[in-house]
Amino acid sequence: MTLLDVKNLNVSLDTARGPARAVRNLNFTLEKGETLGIVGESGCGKSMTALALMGLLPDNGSTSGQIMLNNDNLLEKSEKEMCHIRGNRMAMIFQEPMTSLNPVHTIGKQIMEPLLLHKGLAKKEAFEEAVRLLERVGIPNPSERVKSYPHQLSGGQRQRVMIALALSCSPDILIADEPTTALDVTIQDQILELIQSLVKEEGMSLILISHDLGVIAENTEKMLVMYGGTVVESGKTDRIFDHLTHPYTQGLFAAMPKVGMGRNGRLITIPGTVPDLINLPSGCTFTDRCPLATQQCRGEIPTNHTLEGDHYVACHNLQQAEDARSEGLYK
Amino acid sequence: MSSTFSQSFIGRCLNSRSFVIGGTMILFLLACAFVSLFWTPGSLEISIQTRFLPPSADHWFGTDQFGRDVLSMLMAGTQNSISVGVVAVSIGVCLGVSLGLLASAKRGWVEELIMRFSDFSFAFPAILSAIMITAILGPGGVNSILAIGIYNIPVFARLTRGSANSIWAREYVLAARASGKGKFRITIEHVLPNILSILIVQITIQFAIAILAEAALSYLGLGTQPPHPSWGRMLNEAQTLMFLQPMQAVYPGAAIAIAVFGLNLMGDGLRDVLDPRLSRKR
Amino acid sequence: MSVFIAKRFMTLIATLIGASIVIFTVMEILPGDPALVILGVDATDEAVLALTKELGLDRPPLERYFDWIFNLLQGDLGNSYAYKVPVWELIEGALKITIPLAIMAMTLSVILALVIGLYAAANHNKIGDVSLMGISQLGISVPNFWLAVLLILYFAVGLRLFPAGGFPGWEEGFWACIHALILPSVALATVLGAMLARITRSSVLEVFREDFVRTARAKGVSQRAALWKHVLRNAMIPVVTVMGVQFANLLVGTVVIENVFHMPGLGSTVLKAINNRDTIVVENVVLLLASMVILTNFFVDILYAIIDPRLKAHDI
Repeated sequence: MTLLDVKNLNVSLDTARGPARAVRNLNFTLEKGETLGIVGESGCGKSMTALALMGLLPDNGSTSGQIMLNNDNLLEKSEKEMCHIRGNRMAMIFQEPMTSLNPVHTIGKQIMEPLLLHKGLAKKEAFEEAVRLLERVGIPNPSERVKSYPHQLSGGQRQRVMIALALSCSPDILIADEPTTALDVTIQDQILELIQSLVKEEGMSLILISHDLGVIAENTEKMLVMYGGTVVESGKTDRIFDHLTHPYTQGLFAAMPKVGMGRNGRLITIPGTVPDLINLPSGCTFTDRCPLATQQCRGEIPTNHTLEGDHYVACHNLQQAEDARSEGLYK
Repeated sequence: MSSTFSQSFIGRCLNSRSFVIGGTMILFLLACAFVSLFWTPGSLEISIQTRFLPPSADHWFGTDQFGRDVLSMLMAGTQNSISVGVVAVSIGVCLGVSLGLLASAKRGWVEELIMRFSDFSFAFPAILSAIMITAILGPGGVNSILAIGIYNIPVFARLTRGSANSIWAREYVLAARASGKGKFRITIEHVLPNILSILIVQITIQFAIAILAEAALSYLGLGTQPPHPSWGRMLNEAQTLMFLQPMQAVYPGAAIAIAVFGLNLMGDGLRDVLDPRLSRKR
Repeated sequence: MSVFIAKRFMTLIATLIGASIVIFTVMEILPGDPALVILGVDATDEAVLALTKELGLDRPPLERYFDWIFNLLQGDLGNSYAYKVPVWELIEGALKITIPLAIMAMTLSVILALVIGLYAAANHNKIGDVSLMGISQLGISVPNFWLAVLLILYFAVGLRLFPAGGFPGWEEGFWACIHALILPSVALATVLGAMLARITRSSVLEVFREDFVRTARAKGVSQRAALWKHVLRNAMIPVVTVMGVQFANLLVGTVVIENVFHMPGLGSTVLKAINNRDTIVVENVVLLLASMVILTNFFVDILYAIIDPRLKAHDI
């Protein structure tokens, strides 16, 4: 059953220099219990997509298109109705566990808040539930810890608290926006494993946002590669890693450090920088950085090509890109 | 370098709306003070014949109970407020900045002593120190300026030391020290120029506070003594005649408010120009 | 928490001692002989000497300082030079006016600041916000004693709603006294309230941009509930700081405002003492005012720790 169906989602932000088109014509679906990864550089629109799903865009943001949750368009919901959905049917974990918790309230109070708000629990029940949730996310000594303030916890523990918070009302969809980026490498895997196992237990759907292809490869079934506000490649995660096609995806993969590369192995980089969302090029947004770019790329927006196994790629030079896969596009 | 810096600096100041509005108000007051040195529209002399005249072409704001022209008194009062501000802030800047720089350069017990001493200052606002000083020296213009000046010393000492300490930690100061320059030279060449912008903003604020404090003291009868024209005392004298001539109580207060408002606006504008980081927060 | 309070308390004592030393030194080093001042310039040398001895001013400064402090701790402020009565008698009645006035003004300015500041922040950059901030900028620049005069002109002389000055005394009834204190506290509270309103507004706006507010919204907390439950307490931290610092100015403001309204509070007591060269009264009143400021700052620090749990850990 399709849980979430995003159709033609556009997000633009009003800035002093004009509207910035943060997300353009985004389409994807999410089944119940499915895990979806969104990967891309910072500024590619992946966080804006997440905030648009939650209805939490900044004041200067506006949206068009459809976000269908169980055949209900979220973009047509009133603020009051959205408050009922947030934290209840859709929950979100953020990148910065250090600043994402309110410093003046105990973590218990913060976990209890959605329980009181959505589940109508009494204070005492909510408190007991908060302790249970802390135990579930692996916080040692939860009945003591529930009275702690955020500053008394480590970064990893705070992210566990954030997970407990997101989990509290057993939402249908969990959105994790770079949940491990701000954490120590040793803790990153623990947190991802925790999210993974909880999602399985609860039968939740997961949208995992990361700039790290490795994280996406290990934790998701389906993925979107975003660049300059649009999806350039999408499909089953395994299939994409077996058949890297879009020049940008190939570049991202090439730029990843690999085990056994040795001391002299040079990290490959994609030349250039991300496009300016206010002055987007008229054709493919990746043109300026693409080794395969032609005149056509500059002028025309590429259409989606469908490859085997629901694998979509938006590129004018599909054939060349596929051919270049073996030698590598970037030197 | 300095000429292009000052040009762009003035240019940026003129782009700030608050600075321009505030600056215009202050320029206007300065002009009033300057003109009143040579000429006033009416007489500042006491004359019984012209007592309590209503506003007219000869006396725009009327005359007071001693027959003096109120507009002329207001203009001459500008001199008083400006000189009080200049002297009191100068005392604070000269001594306070020196102490702050000394504390920052020497560190150790010198810094500790200077800072502990200025810690008490928060409990003694300008008017309270003035009350203490006038209790012994007697009320008077000079004593009130002195009191406000003394109050300004720890304000500037604390600010200077705080910002100078952050400059001492910068790489270019370390480089200067490594090249064998003495602490005094570094203070003059590197520290002082870099904290100047912060000091300028604080000067405008303290100037406004000084004008307010002097007016309050003169109102209480502890500041400027007759026959010197002073806004604060004019207000005091007008209050006794409130039922007869209520407007006389309005003018001097409005003059004080214009001066303080102008300085505050200028300070805001300068802060925006000199420290964009601070302005973003506001 | 108790360690934190104990530490703060030690600092409080040290600051009080420091302030008393500052006051004593200032009164000591400034030229001017109280005995000569009291007797006038025509007094004979013998008379001046005799009075100096009588007032105990011939003893060494250190001895007099410890005497002063020792007697203070026993509640004895010494005798007025001018009236030959205990200083406490002069101050006692004045405090019954000054302290209620200061408390009323403080309360009023906090209410004013919260209402205006929150309204302006909630209507950020809209017409209400812009005009309120313009007015508050003006409010900061207005001398409070002038505002007091204007209030008297309009509400007392014009509308006759309030007394133009004076104080009935508490035995005349609670409401009569509050009625008399309304105009003076409005005059005091407007300036401080305008300043605090600006700080409240910018602080609320800043906290609204914090990540934890977004977390709260992601939980399903509405904008309004987020303001009350998550933003306000964090936003109060800078407001409380400025409140503590500005309390000194408020207290000194009461000294001036009491004179505008001809109220026999600490302000007129101290002014009378200055005119009589009654330095011992001035010395004690100044110490009293300074101690009130220092004590307020002590309580502000404690309040701080209650608002912000992070401070307890660091023992600022």
